[in-house]
Amino acid sequence: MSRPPTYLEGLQRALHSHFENEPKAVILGEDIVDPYGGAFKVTKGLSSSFPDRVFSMPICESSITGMGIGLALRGFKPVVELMFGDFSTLAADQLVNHAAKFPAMYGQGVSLPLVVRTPMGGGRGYGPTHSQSLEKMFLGIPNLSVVSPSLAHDTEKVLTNALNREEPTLFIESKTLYPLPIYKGNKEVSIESLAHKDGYPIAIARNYSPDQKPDLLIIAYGGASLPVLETLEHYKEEEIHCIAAFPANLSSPPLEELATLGALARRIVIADEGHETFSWYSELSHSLQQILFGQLEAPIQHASATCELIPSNFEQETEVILSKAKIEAAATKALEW
Amino acid sequence: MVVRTITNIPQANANDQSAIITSWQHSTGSKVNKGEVVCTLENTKSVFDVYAEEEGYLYPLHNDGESLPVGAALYVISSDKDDTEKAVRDWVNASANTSSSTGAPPTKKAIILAKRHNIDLSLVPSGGARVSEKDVQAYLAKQSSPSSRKKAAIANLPRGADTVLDSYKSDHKQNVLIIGAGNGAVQILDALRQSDTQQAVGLLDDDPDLSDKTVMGLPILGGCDSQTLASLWEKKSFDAAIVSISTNNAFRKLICERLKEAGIPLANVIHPRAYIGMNAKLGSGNVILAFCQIAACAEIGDDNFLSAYVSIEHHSKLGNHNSFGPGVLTSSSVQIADQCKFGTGVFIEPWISIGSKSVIASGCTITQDVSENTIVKSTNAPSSKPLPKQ
Amino acid sequence: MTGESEVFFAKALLIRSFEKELLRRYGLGQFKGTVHTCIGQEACAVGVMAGIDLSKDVVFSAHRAHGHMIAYGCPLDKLAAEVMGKPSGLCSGAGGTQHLHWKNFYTNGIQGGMAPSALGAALAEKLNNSGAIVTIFIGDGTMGQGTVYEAFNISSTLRLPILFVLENNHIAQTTPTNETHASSFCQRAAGFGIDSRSIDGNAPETVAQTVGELAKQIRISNQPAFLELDTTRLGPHSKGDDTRSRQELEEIAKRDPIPRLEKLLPEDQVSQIQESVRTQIESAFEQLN
Repeated sequence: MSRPPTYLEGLQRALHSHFENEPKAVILGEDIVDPYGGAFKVTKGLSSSFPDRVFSMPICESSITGMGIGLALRGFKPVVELMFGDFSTLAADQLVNHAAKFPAMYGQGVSLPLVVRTPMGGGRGYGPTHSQSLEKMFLGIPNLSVVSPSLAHDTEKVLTNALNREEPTLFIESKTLYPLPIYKGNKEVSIESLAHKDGYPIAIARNYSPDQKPDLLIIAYGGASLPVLETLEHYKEEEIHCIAAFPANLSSPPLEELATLGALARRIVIADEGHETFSWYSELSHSLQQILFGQLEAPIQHASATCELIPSNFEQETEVILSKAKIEAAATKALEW
Repeated sequence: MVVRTITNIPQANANDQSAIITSWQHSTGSKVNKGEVVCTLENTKSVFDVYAEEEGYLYPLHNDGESLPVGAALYVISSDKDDTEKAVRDWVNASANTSSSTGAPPTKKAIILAKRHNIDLSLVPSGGARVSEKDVQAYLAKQSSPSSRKKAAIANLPRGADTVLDSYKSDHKQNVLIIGAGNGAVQILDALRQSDTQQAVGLLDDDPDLSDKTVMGLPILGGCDSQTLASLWEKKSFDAAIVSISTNNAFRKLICERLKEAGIPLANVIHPRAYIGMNAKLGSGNVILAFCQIAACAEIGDDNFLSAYVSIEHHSKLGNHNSFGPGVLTSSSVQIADQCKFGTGVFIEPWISIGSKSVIASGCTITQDVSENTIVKSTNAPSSKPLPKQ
Repeated sequence: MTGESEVFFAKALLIRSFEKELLRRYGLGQFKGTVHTCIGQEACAVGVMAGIDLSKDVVFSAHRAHGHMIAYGCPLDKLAAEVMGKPSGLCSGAGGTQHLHWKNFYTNGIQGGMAPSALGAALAEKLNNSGAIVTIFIGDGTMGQGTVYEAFNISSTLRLPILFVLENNHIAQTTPTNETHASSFCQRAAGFGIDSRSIDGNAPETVAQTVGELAKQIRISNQPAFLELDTTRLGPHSKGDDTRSRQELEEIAKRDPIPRLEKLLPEDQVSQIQESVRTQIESAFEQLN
């Protein structure tokens, strides 16, 4: 049996098929042409196969993003790569005041099929401006989709769905997940995929047999899926029945599905890699308590990065960013309530 | 007899699995006093001291600089001045072989279950390599009676802990569901507003026009049918119910029975300005509004609605499902059966007995017994005529 | 040349009358928000649109775009309704004065924000081999934004068919341009290897001719060009926010393009045009009474 593709290979495949099937596909970014093929190699091979449609751009994230917008307005299907998610702040005006505005503002007939891809997350010692998870800055912007596949997702399918939906989308990838094989499950943890009407599947992981009841639901996305899956593996031997749900659509999470699982487990932990407070987890726990008030055994707990600078020093960085230890501490709090 | 005690590496913070011995403050065999620093440990977050829990002679089991898992034996304090290191180590090894505590730790599920049921895990025998959920369940099942379980639980509580083993915290307010969303409900809401121990969470009413409406800000959650009641109860949406309908005692009774059938407790809603006397007895499901008196040794059954200024005098006895308008005053030792309805301003002489399902109109003074199913009307209705013009 | 002047005068007067009518209605409280007029700058709009191919070229503009839109050929009634926030407007009333779209014309309310979009559109036309070019209007105030220089750089490196038109009215809202800008705008663009010119923006004939030349050159060479139009903002930035002295305003009013154009035409033709403009404005706003 061949090994499953890595997180990175899934993304590469999605881009290649997009370019093969869609003559209007173009991609713009910094250092994305071969032989380098992008800082994280997502565009590797693309410029060799499609030399006229891969544009290596000067360092100017706002214009690269804005050009994607102009191309999309004029009938193309552009993809923009921002080398590090931290640089999305430089593209913020283009994303918020342009991409997210045009389709609704200009009225009928204007669509903006633009996917802006960028990697977020720490754990690699890149330091304060190359390790953040800033996607929360783009959540709650009307008409801007924010999407991120977890390690338990087929990344090729998720990116293909983003490209097919033809709407302004910020596509968050994970630096730490790139080299890892897609998580297909093992003897501790089984994986299934729950379809959703927006085409973004919810990846479900569980460490117990279907005839048993869960003790705990953990909700996470993107890079946070790795420590969550490790927690599930560890909890298998600790007899904690744990179900994890990884939605791919962050800006409009599948609340009904998550609430159903939450009502079943009655204890919930939400993990995200962003800095704690005013976060994806806080918004999600608010929405879930609106549905689940009175049905939970414990207040919804969270695990995230602490609200401080992410240092380069490895030990210090580990203290700040999301970790399995933080997820387990939150889980213990929920379980012991 | 030599008494030896082992001290283990403590868990100083939740994320640490181990600690390093920085230094010992005393040499092997030296005397330590209770509360004295024995050694200093270091984990990822901090450096901290370990204090002697009793007086005796110190036998460290490890050297400076060693890293040990949380829970590992650290040192022994012996009561015997002439104890030897070898004797101590032999004793430690021997006790390790007999005690489960030095084996693999219990599973996390077992730990959480033990905490939830307030049991000491060291008392739970292990059926495998680790103490598991199954072992804890088996141990729980074996415990002889609820009272002995409670006794054991209290004995196992740490010093200074609260002994009330209720799932409700002391500041938990009883969540009350009000049946009926009419004027009776408004009076109940007013009484609950002033309560420190109860709060209303919602209302039920069969009138479809009222669905999706609110009463004083509280939602009407559905009809009074068994299904709605059962589903709300299942969801733990409330702790107890109260019937607010004061105009139809048969309906009060019906609902009351429905609630009892579903196993739903009835709340008493008593306005803080009401007076409940010494030795008075009170059932459940009673509404007692402002300025009512239930005098000493009076007895009230279940599911009665007492409007303001109702006085049930001492040694009087009230059955179930009765309703009172404002200002009904009984004298002492009056007996009222079930499902009676009183108007406003009724006076009842001592030792009078009133049979079930009787109706007493406003302004009556009852001087003789009333048998069941009787309507009593006042004969001296006031007459009126216009004032002479000035 | 009376034929050309006649067209320029008619279009400039139409823009002026349209915006005056908007200001009158704003004063009456008929709509809220803001309204940015180009009174005094009409010749720029009229001249540029006469020099490009309206059937296929793409145009981007910003907050002061009514004139550009009218010169581009946008229906007056739909534009009026949009500025007044009506559902019958170009963008169903969602856009208002600053956010407009009709055919290949796009505007937005962020200074310099459209420059990258214009680059993208230019790349699209280039990849499509359509022969169309992109024109983007910017102002002297926009020259403080970094995106403009990113656009100069990228358009030059990627050889994009784009014409940057800088309408220099010498004031950004209330701040005189010479207080916030240190060097010539033309030299800045030239520094990126862009063919850059500066002309009188209040002479529509010259503007049309220069734009015509540059557009032709861009279509052939796929190289960007930059044109600075020296012009005059006779009105406030939006409403009641003009801090310039009366003397200064009187001085720049001497450069008003409309009286100049009027003098080039015989009196009867002028009154004929005035009458036609009045009718057009009346019918454009009729639905909004």
